[in-house]
Amino acid sequence: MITPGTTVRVRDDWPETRGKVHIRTPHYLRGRTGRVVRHLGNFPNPEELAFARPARTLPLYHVLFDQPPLWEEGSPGDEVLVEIYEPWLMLEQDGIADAPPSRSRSLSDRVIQTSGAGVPANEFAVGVPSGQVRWGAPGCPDSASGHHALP
Amino acid sequence: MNLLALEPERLLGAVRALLAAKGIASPAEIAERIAATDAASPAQGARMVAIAWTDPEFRALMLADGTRAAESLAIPMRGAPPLGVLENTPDLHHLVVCTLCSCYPRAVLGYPPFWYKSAAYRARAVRDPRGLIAEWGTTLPPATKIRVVDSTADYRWMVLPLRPAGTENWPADRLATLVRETDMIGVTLVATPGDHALNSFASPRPQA
Repeated sequence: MITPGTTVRVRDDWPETRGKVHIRTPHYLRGRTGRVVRHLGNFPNPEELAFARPARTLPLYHVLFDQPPLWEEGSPGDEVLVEIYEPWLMLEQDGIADAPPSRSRSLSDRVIQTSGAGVPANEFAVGVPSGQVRWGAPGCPDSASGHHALP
Repeated sequence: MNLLALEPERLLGAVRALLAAKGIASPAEIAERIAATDAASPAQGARMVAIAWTDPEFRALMLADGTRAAESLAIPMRGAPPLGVLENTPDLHHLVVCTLCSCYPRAVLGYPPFWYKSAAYRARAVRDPRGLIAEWGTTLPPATKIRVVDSTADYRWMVLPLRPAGTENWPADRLATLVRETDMIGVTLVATPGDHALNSFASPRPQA
């Protein structure tokens, strides 16, 4: 369990470039450093649930990030607070200090653009043939109810 | 042949009968779910906010465990994801978004407004939160920091907004009439009573 107050880095990993996946870690946080605010509880891993595979129960944390560095704009002091599952978080002993984010703006832009017009971020769309985007993500019943008819 | 278009009532009856016969969902469970869905609206969240403003004990419960607080008001929460409540203060303003899809605390706020699910709202909330809420006419003092809450996983989040000035002797049921869904998402502030008549949309559209 990660103690509140611990500095963590989100893994700079892009599984969506390697095949069909379901990811709840937003692309804009990959490789970024934040601080664990609280342990929210333990939940079945949605990355496995999405494919009806047996799902491990994972600790879920609320992690706080400074907002301006994420986009190199914004107001100093503003923050982003995000739920992130433990396997996506690296602690100091895992090499957090000497692992600057390798992600470039161009990579994230490219990933977003490949997800198609009107289709939300790559996390749901990668590896799915166009026109067959899966919205029925377990744990996000909002998306399972057919209200995603974006233009 | 499109069964759904030809005989929807018969199809629905058959599906209900099968669900009951296979022990998946009883008629009572289906009725309960329909009632819960019908009852879900921003009025439920507004009621919670108003009670939190007037009852310190309820406020503490709501901030510690939103689901239990809602259940204590007989709001149906069974089967809903855990509800987290984010407390606005003069120094800290919360703005809720789901950048990945459209996670929303439906049990207490009902269906999300159309713009909440738009790609534009989802992208801009994390990148330019102050510019975004300015389009609702919301300007925060420079000393108030924004905390954007990206709802990515198993919780659902609502904002406990600041109680407006000029409502000191108001009872909870009257206070509840001031609270809009946009206040509980964080794109607006609860208007003070004098200003409210000017901006009384249930779900104000962003200004052009």
